[in-house]
Amino acid sequence: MKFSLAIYGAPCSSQAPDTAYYFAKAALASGHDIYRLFFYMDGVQNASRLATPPQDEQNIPARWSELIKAHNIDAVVCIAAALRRGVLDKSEADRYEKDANNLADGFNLSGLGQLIDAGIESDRLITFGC
Amino acid sequence: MSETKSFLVLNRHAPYASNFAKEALDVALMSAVFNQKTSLLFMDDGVFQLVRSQDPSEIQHKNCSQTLPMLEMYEVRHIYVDEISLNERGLSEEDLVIPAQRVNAQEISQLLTRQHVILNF
Repeated sequence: MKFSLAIYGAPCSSQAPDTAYYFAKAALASGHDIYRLFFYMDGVQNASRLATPPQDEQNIPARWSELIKAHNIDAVVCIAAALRRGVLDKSEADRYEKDANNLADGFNLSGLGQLIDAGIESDRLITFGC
Repeated sequence: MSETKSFLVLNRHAPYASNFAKEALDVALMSAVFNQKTSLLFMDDGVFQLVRSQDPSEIQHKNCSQTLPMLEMYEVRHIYVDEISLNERGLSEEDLVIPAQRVNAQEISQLLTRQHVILNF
């Protein structure tokens, strides 16, 4: 089956990043496809590579980056939600004349249309963190 | 894009304590832009999003309800509101900023069953 995951919760304040991550791993391990991960609302914080948790805690953005790379998953972060919350790639940081960017490896900023496209193209679109 | 699917945006949060209302409405409008069969259902504290005469200027927020009439411009005509949630909050149709069809628990169950995609907010 072709799944897409919409993730609205942020690390540290929501269980959504954990649940979504383990769901994605289990789905892939069972032979299903992940059409897209879509990070929206506070879920955009999953894509900040500046997260620096203590060594004995999970680094959630780094863990996503590994999974995305290992399985070549399309991981989209809603650009409007990300800009609002301070998650920027290099080109957005340049555009808005910010002194830093923080979008982690493997993630791409794109529009909300990618969430609707995921709903159209996937057999199931599952929301985490509402 | 080959298919047309039915999308329902389910709104359950009050308008100003979080960004749910604003970002859910963006999703509903985007679904309409993609020419999908788009519906909205307001229930629980989400019914407060529909209340007319909202004035959040004192708390320096934009008035969410001013964007709701855009749904009609995008030809989104299936707007539903849970009558139990309205009753529990002492609201009636006259309190609402846009027309919404009242639905009971059984109708909500049928409405949800008919959708291809439910987007929870």
